[in-house]
Amino acid sequence: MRSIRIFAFLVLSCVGVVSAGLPGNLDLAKLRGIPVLEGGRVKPLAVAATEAIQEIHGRAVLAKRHASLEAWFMLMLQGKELEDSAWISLSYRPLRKKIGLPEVGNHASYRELSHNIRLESIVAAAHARQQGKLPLSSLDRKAIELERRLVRWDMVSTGREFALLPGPSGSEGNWRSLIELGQGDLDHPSALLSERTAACLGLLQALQRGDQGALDMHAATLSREEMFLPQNLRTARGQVSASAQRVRAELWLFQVHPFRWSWLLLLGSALAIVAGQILSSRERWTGPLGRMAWELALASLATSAVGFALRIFVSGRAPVTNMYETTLWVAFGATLFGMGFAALWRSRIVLGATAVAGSLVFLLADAVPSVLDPRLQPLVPVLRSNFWLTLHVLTVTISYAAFLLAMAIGNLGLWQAFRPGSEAFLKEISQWCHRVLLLGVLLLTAGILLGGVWADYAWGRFWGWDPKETWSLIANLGYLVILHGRFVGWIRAWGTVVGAVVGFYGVVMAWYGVNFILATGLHSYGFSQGGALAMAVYAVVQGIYLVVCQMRHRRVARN
Amino acid sequence: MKFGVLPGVRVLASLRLALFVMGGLVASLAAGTLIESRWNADLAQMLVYRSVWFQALLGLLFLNVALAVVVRLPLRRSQTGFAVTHLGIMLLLGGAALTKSHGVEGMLVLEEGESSATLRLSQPVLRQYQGDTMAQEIAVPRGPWRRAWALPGLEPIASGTRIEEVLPFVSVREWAQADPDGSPLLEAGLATGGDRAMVDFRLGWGNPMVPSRQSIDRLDVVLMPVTDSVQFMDPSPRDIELGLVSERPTVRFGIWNSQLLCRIEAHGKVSRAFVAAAGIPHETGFGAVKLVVGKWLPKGRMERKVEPVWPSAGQTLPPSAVRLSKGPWGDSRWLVEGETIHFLGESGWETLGYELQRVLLPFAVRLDSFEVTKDPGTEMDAGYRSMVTVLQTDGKAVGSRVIAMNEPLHHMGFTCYQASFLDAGTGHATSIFSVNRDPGRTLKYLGCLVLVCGIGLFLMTRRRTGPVAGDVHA
Repeated sequence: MRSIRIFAFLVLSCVGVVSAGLPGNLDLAKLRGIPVLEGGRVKPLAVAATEAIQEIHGRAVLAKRHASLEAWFMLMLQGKELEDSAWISLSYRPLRKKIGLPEVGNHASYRELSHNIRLESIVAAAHARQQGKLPLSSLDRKAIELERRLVRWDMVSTGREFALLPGPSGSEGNWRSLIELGQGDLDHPSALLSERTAACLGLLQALQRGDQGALDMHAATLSREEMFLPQNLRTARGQVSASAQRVRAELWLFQVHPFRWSWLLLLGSALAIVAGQILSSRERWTGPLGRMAWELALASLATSAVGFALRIFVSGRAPVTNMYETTLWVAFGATLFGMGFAALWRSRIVLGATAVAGSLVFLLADAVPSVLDPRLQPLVPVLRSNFWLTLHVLTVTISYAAFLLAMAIGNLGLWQAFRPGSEAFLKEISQWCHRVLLLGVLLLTAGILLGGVWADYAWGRFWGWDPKETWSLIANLGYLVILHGRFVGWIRAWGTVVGAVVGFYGVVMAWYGVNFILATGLHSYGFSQGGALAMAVYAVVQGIYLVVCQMRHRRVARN
Repeated sequence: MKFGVLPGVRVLASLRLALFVMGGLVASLAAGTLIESRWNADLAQMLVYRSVWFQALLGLLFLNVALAVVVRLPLRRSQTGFAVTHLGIMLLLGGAALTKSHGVEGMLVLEEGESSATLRLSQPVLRQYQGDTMAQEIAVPRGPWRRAWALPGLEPIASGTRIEEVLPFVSVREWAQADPDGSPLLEAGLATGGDRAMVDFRLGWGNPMVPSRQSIDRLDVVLMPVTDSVQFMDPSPRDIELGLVSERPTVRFGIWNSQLLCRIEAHGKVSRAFVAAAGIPHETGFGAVKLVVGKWLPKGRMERKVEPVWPSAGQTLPPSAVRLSKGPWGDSRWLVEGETIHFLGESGWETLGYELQRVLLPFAVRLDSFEVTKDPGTEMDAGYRSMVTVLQTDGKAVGSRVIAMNEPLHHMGFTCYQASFLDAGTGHATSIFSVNRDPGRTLKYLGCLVLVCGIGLFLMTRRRTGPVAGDVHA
């Protein structure tokens, strides 16, 4: 009992009082794998710290080149001293102006924001509108985001951000944050708990002293399997090892980042095809550069497959529960389909279109974490049905992959307007588009129907004209118009490639627009913000390209 | 003449019409989602998805799809995929039509410990009660537009009465007005902090439209005539006269010679008494709460105006209203959704209510307990579970069940889903179930299967099916 009190005193005295800062030469690598409970699940400390710093600062690495883990410990141990440092992301000019900050700037300090009366009133007004279900302005949304960052700052700097130690009762819900170590049922400690708390304390002291040896030793103790897993599960060996492996797998996923390799490899594949095309337009797709393109694309497929396997293993569910995951899945599906069709039709052009589309979509998922949130988070209750999640969402999103591929091939077809005498090739491209569209329509129809069955099972109605359902149907109807038009000869080769490109607008709306622009309906768990500008740029650039090609095509046809 | 050669049939079966219908569906569905995003889902349902023209568009699609197969009879083997695909679409549309025409969908709202067999539907009806017994129910279809009807359904209530007008969305404005033939009326509010009214209330004496007693926040407010003003205004703390004691703190207004007297009662004793003046905040003694009398009319009447309004963006729909012609209830009058009127009918006192339709289930459900599970270490909801007991109509328990997300209860052709919940912090959670009976379910499921098989067959045996004459463009 006495030792616990001393321990609590030491921890509390460490938190907030340390002022010397982290010794610069400390290597925190061994701390990365320490399991912590944050956001409803157990994850490696490196992942939790990165997510926290990313939310507060906007990026995972601070301007002063502090890695996220180091920044997290600095914030936890020296929160008071850092209150004047411009760490909190705030670049929205109207909000900066309203709360009395210089209009130009990307960050602000905690002190500038935490007792800012103007900010408080803006946030209060935004919450009032939110509660009244009134539409929120950009200022409201940015103010609420900023409030969330301030709360996160408070949580980290007061040692409540995430729970580092399982409670003595063993259940995950009773894990303790650092600040809570001296409280409550620690009056009944087990030997293991004492060891854990001692290791925690030792770790903090080692950080303070800059003692690398002690730091590594305590990190190793805290990373030991039996140190963090719930006591009441330690006898169920299967569960214990599964959980420990999940933490290790997530750390590996975090460090290796296989999806980044996917877009790099696909980009290499695309460049190899372009180089092959420039060097010799007659080169067969099985030539040296063609082979290289093929091998790079295969390697990309393999890295993304590994990434998905790890995400599935860590989360225990299909990897299509948010916009980030569906973006990856669509890129993966487009690559898979594209390589299959390229092999079937022996076409390096199709492989090239696949590589360009796939790498761009993989890159999109990797480049904008503030919009496409890569965090693995617990699901909302209605999605907690792995059977239907796998069947419905995977099917719908894989159909988007087919439509993405058709759009990429269609864009190649549009380019034929600038290549006189390429009518035969245009016809071939239109046939490719047509076949890919058929596959997409089959998958999307099946996905929509499976969604209907799930909705009937979960919500009690097969079809309720929810915006997500409705836009999926609109996209499908758009493609059906193209297929039927082609069937009776109203739409020919040029019309088909145009249709494959135009039809993808419907997919973008069903996929992105409903969640990010309309933001209404029963699929509210997918709603988010941001990216509207990027999508508008895509729509406008694609539209301009389409119009230019169409004008050129008409001129050629007239002549 | 062969059926498929008839000019009308040829047009109805044509791909031209199919493309027109599909284009029309795309445009109207996109508009529907924009309406839902800007206003709300109910308005989108009313203006688009449940509208007559949209149903007609779906009907036209069904006809087109069916005739597209019929005109090609007898089918060639290569047309199997085409025919099966179209049959799948017909089954789906048929199932949807059956659900719409014969299905039941409503909400069952239960507090922990409560049981009920009554489903609340979204359709408003005029319901007539004789005493406590429902005599008849008249459906009043709620469309987006103002309508003037002579609905004969009111004939059994009183000859010649009818619904004169239906307004889909209304706001109600009420105010007190001086009238030498009227009765006492009071409009007041409670203010806290500044002098802004916290809660408004209206009391009347001898007025059929305004109650003499209301419960406001945690107070009772009462208006009554005073026979002994000295006794009523006695400022010394004392026990309240027998017969007036209320369990809750009470603000009691007394009418005496065109004056408004007021006294505050708490714990069975009078704590304050004063003559209330309009516009002046009076201390109540309940913390910082002050009483502000807005308007006091010794003789007045209530004026009421029902006005059409358009729904506000992002808000729930305003109520609808019906205007009844002159009848046993007196002059022509408006009845807003949720309101009732009492009148003296041929067989005694009767009630006419403009309410949401209700359906009695062949069984009852009792909510034994409700729980929300959380993700570890967070306040994020992980799941909702309602532990219920299904009861027969005689109250006998059939068995205990659990209703959760993705885990509905099926009983006697009805399916009960966990839709939502309310936890007002009273210690008793309220679970909201969506309950339905869907006679089109089998057809829809069959349609799904047939449609996917059809597309698969179509892709495998893809050959020209042969367009209807006139469709080939070149």
